[in-house]
Amino acid sequence: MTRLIIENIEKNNYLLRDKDNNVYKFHILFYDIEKKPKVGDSLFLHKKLITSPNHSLNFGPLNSKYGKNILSIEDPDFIILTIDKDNLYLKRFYG
Amino acid sequence: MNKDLKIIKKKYGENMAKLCRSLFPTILQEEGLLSSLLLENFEVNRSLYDDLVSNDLVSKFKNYIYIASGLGMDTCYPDTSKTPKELLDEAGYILYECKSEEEIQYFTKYYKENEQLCTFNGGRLEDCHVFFAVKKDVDSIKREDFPNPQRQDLYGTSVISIQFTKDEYCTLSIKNRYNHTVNEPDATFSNDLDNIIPGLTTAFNNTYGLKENISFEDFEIPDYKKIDNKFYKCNTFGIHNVYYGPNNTIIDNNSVIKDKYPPEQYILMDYFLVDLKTGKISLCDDSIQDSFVDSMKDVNSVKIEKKNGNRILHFTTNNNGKIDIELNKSNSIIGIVNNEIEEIDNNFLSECRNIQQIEMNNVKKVKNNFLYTCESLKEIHMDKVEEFGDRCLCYNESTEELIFPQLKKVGQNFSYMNHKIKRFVAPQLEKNGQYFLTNAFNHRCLQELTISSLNEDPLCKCYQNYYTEQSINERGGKSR
Repeated sequence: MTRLIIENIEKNNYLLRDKDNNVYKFHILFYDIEKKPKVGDSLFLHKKLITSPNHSLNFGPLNSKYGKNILSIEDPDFIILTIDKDNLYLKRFYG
Repeated sequence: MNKDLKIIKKKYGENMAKLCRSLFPTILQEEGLLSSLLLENFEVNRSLYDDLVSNDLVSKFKNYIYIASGLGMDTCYPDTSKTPKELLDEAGYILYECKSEEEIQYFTKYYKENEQLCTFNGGRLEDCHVFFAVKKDVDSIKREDFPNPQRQDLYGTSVISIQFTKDEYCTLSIKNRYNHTVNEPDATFSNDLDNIIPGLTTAFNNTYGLKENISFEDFEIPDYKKIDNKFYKCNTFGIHNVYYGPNNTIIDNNSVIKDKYPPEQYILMDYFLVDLKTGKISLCDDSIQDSFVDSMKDVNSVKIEKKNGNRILHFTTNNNGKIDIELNKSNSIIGIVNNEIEEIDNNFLSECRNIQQIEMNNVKKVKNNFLYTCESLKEIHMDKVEEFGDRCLCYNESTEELIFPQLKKVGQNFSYMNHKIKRFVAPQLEKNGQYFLTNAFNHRCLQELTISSLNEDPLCKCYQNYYTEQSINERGGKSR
């Protein structure tokens, strides 16, 4: 997984940067999490998700009925959101 | 043939020329303009057409070129005086605009329980304008009549949600009735309203003021890097921020390097360098860990054969063994025949994504991460393999048959992502790690699962029982 640091957030439009200074723009909605991410927090995403042509992404809890059943950390729909030092394990929602 | 189209055909292939003829009649009226636009914006490569089509980017490519031409995007959309409701009616749909949560929830009845859109979770109207379009004959389109869901099939497109974000970008997403059961469900009709019915993009703009605000900078093609406003194809994900592409091109930390490896002497195939004089294979980056180089250490010569637009490299080893590697027109490895080796070490071709066929019939043992990122594999022949390590064939999504007569043991995440496989035959497989064929089980795509009767894995047993019941009840499929 690749660590992306949140550089800017504007109305759910996230500007993310990796360690090689590559910049990515995504429109992201987070569902059913208590704390929302802020600038400086991190997202760990699979390469396959980063390079997906769809830049509008939704994420929520692993046990939610939305999205696929995630059983392994190898699943590209599995992500880690780090807020301060807390890791949240989430999955991609579709629709 | 028009001069521009001749140039495009020569540089990018005939299909690209035909596409340009159909997409850009206005631009083609100015001689020299279209071919210049392509050459300035896209490094020459003959798979550009395939990449645009397979990624549903034809429409966005059209927009991109029109903006680059200075003619603007409005030139490329068909005009209409009809409303979205009228146009969708012609296409067989009834359009509903949702202005409240209750109106959105009304549509949950059209979705299978485990295929619900996350739109129904609530709150979507804070971020998006939400519409639903429902086929007039929706009641006659039954989910059970579609055992092999495809995004664009009759069921998937019978109820669609059309959503625009409420920000300056007004990003459009057309959501599929299958939802996550199919790939890219949020890009139904390639997120192009005109693919539903011509004129629909203009109609939404005229009636609701909704039109995607596509910035020139936002156009992307998967597996292409944009450097100084020019798109370069890459055969691999970035490895240590270095990308390897066709024509011996390397993109290293956003610098394009084209002349480091003269094509008369070298072929850059994925991230490996073939010395055409000696046949020796090396890694472009020694810090990459991949055991493929080691497996080829005994080669002493190579000959090249051209075949159907591809190339086959015929290697000879010190003891007169033969190894064949097939490359596509972008010099990415698509096929291997190597019956010389018996054991495969860690990370064998682990970053090669385009391999379609592999034959290694003398291999008995394979360690970890074998073909780890390879999504395209269709055929694999390893008749003597007895053991796979962890994460082997992990991201493979294309193989429909896996047959390993001697296989006794596999590690974790074996073929984890594959949701198309129909037959898995390994009659001696007694032990498998966690997440074995996980997506195959989730999607219930397997029609035959043959493993050892000594295999204690409860999921495999459960799946075999499922097939036994199915075959008793109705299908007549095989189970053991």
